[in-house]
Amino acid sequence: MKADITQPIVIIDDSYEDVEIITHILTELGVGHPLVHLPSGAATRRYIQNRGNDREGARPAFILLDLNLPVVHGYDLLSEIRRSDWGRTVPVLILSTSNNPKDVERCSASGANSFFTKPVDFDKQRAMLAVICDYWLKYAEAPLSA
Amino acid sequence: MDQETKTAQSIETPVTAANVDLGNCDRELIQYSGAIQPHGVLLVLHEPELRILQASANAAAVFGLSMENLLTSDAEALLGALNTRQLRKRLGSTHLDGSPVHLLRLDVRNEQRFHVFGHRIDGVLILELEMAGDAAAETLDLYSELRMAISRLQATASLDQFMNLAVEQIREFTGFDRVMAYRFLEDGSGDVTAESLKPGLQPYLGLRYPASDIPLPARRLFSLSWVRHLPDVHYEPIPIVPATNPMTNGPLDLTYAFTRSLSVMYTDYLKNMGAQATLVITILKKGALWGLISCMNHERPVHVPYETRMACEFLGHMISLLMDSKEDIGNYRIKLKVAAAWNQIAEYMVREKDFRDGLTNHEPSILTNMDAGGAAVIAKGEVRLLGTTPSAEQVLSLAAWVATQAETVFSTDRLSSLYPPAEAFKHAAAGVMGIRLARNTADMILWFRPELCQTVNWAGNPEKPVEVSSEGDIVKLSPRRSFELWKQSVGGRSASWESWELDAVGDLRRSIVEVVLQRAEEVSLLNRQLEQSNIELDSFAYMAAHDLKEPLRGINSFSGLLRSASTQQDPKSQKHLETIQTLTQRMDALIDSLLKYSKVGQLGLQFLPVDLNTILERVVQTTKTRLDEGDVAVRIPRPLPMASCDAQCVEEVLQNLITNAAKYNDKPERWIEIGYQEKHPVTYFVRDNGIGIDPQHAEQVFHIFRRLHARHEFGGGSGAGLTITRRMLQRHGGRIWFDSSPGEGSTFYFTLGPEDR
Repeated sequence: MKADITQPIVIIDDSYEDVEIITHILTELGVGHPLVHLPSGAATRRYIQNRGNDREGARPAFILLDLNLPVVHGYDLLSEIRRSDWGRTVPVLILSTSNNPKDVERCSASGANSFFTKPVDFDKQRAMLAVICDYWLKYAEAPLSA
Repeated sequence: MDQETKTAQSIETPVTAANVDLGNCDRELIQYSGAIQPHGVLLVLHEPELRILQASANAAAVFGLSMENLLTSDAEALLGALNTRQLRKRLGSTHLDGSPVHLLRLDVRNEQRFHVFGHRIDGVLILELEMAGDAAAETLDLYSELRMAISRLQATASLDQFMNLAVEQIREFTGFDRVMAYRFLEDGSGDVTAESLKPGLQPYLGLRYPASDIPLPARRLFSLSWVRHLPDVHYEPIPIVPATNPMTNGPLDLTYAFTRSLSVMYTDYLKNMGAQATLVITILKKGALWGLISCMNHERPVHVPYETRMACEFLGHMISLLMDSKEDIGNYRIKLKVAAAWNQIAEYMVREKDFRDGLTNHEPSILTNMDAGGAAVIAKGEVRLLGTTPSAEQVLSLAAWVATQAETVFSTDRLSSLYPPAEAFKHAAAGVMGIRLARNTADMILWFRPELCQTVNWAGNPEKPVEVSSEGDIVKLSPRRSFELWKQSVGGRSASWESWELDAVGDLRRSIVEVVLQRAEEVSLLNRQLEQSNIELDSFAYMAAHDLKEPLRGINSFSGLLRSASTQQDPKSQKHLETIQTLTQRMDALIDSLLKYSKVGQLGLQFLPVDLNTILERVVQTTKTRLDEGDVAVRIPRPLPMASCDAQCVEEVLQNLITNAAKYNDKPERWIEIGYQEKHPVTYFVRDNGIGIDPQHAEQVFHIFRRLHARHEFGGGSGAGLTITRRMLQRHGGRIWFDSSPGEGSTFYFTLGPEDR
């Protein structure tokens, strides 16, 4: 089934500037899904927990995960999401500044759906996000539940 | 000099005084001479009753008895009750199983004074009576003379001085016509190194005596007894009566009897030399026989009394002890100098990158202060020469030979006898001393000494130590009669290396090994640190890229936001926002290049056989658009060979060079040629007919971010391409360089392996 409009897009990223840009681009692109910003590992862990209790509403349409976070590393959050009851099948897309092959390898092995390098250039970033949203919101069939 | 020897019993016919000649004298059973010299009286007694068993024929006259009476009497009858009691007391308390021991002084019939010596052998007691001098007066004089002599000897400054004084002193105290210091050389021959003689005598100083003059068994004997004396070379032997020892039914063993009659070979030798009486004092150095002090009287016989002989023996001890320190003092100053030089060299070695520079490039060098004509340092297959040496090739071959032979420290003063090729360079290196720096390589340091064309002055012809004379039908050998100077020149040898010199270079070896080991440790520590810092640099590059890019992305994005949000803004502001975005893009490209450059050092390269044509084809394919756009013809005159290299790196290298060649070209008809030259190693090239490079910028093109053209010209670029290319080739052990004529084109050459050496 295709993503429901009530399903949020979750952005895990400690950079408020990046999130602001992403939010701007998604709005510009006309994405109507609610956006959830988790700025830290702790916030993410709370979210993972509460999703189990269904306190955070519908399951995410997809998660944008930044690898380089303070205190915890993105991989660990990825694994934790994959281990949770609800997060086993949620699309998790890695957004990272560098394309270190080791990171790509490791994320893919830990169950990431895809790996993107954040372009420095604004226009390229916009183009990339447009493709992601088209793909995951309009075309891809996602499992309804875990 | 002294030819008397004694060896183990021969299985052939025993050789005794009756049938000895020079051909068999080394087997002469001198202990069975059956006679004594006339300055003594010998008695053989049976213990415990001290009955007389045998006596020298002169005993009868001394004791005023007939021989028959004497041979049936006992000690008490000859010596008197008092002396016999004293004798028994001494016999009970003294160890007598070796050299004769002084037992008592004896006045015989109130006329003659004797010293009595005793020793036991084959179950009998042998007493030797020797005439005494005027002892009471002499002892006192001797004591003060000895004390004076010793303090004067102590004051000498060199071994030569010491020896000259020693022979003078001994002549003064013994009254001999001639006193010589005689030093044994390695081959058994000996030199007269100091001499004191009565005016008018022919000097023997500087003469050398062949080894056969003092055979090995004799030298062994010298190290056992300090003083040996022959009062009269022309003596008449006094027979011992009866000839057979009644206890053993064999000849009397006179091994230890100091009054024993000597080998006729020895006495003849001395007669031929013109000696009438001799006294020989043994000199030991560190317990080993060093030489002799040999005293001779030419004009008349002389009997040196026991007291004086004791003083001579004491002096022999003192000379042996003092000489050791004198010889050391002689070398002390130069040793200090050499040690100081080694210290300085050690500092130079620490300071220099290559320890060899510390050995050879400064003053003092390893040659300074060493008594050598030249020196060579052989390490890592290279030779460095100082002073007069054989050629580098000769030194290398010599080192290779030494490496198969020698211990860590070695020397020879006659190299060509061990290593025949050395004959060719004996003028520079007849002798060599060396230290090896490692056990399993030919790394070593050598010092050379030139050939010394010495003249040896032999005392008579050394080839003919015997003379043949015929008496009727009997051919007889006798010691040579002529001691006329016999000159012989000796080649192929250098001056000998002294033990202190070997010790000194041994010290240098230890300090070199220490420096080299320490250096190796430092290098391995640096390597570990470097490895660590490379790993850190790798992760640093990623972190830096991440941390630099985040703000950069922000700047770019917000400028983009501003541009799209405020379309009504004036065109100037629009232009400025666009510039900000362009700048951030360029900075992004620079960060990427830096990242890429730092990664080249980290890459784990895989060296496999690679078909370069496949790679080239792929590169041409990927750059096709660019090549087509610029209308660039690619020429590959012949297929490239196989190469052992990392395929990914080489692809990147070709990509860079081909892109550059296509980029920097302003001609209407453009072409690129890719080929190779069959050299060692194979040299590849990428040639173009482009804009060329001014030779004054030759090095700059390889510097990171260094651009020779305006940014917008020739399609731009980060300015890191050639830097990355060069680093990749360096990782292969290869290099890159170019030929260029500005305006006509450039050829970039590269290799994928190290240069042949």
